Amino acid sequence: MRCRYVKKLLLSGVAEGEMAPDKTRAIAAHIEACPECGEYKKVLEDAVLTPLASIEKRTPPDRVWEKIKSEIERQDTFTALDLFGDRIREFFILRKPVFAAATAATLLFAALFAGLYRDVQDRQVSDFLYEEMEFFFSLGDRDWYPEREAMMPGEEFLM
Amino acid sequence: MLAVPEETLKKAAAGDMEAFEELYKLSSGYVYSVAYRVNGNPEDAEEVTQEVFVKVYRKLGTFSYRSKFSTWLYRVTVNTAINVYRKKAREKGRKISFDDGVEVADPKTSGSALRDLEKKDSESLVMSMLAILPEEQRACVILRDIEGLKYEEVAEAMGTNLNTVRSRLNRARAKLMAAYGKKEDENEVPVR
Repeated sequence: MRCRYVKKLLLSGVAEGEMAPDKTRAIAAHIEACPECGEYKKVLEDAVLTPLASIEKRTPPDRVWEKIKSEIERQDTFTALDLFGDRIREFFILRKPVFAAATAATLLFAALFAGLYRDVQDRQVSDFLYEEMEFFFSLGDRDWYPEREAMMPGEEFLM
Repeated sequence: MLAVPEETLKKAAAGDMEAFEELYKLSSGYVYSVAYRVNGNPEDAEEVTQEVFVKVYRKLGTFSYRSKFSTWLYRVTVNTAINVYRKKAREKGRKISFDDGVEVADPKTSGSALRDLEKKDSESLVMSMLAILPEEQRACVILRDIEGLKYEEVAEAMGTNLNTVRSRLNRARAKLMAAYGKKEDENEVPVR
């Protein structure tokens, strides 16, 4: 068995019991007979795998939990605001055509009403002026005077 | 090994903050440790831990109990840690310093530094070893050799297949051995 192959197998997990039993036995026999591979196995186990496996677990400082809680609360607040904003936007976007149609209808109605009112007003003014003019023109009418003779005594002073 | 009661998970998934705090207490050590080993410094580890638990809070409702919660959590942690690591690496022009270790950016020169650190405390030694490795290989070593996950669990946590995990672990360990002056090639065995 070539040393290079044995070293590859050692790196691939023979030290972790990942190999088939017959392969493990063959490698063990080679290592016993080969000082170079024996040294390689020893360094792999003592200098690499053992320090890695025995390293102490770390614990995060207390402030990390506080930061996590604050971040979750901050995101929740933003989410609530976003939802509110979305609803507002949705309200306006969805109802825009309805608003436009309602505004157009209102304006049309207002225009029609204003036009009719003005027409009525104009007619009232013109009727009044016509009546007034008729009255003033009638002041010079001679047919009117004979009735004066029928006035009661002293009534002319009231004219 | 990380174990969170299913009842706690279900309560936390329903938005129960007390249950979520219990979940945090039970699992934050695992998350923070992995994040610290991947990123190499406490500041980034805190950032990753915070990001992971906010994601867990938001996504726990979608967690299917078909897989183990621990594997799912490791997956979220490894992905977040590697993303933060890469982001910081881009920002700093691929010069990220590990605490008490050597720079990841230059693995060729880190071998001798590793040998110098052999006599130091185990924490510095481990961080220096991890600093030699590219992030994907580093994550595999952390999950397998530090956290003690099975190969299948590492594959699930990394979102890859078993052969890729074996290959990454093989290459990672070969690099670490090379840093100790131990090469695979029988004709190139240097003297320490």
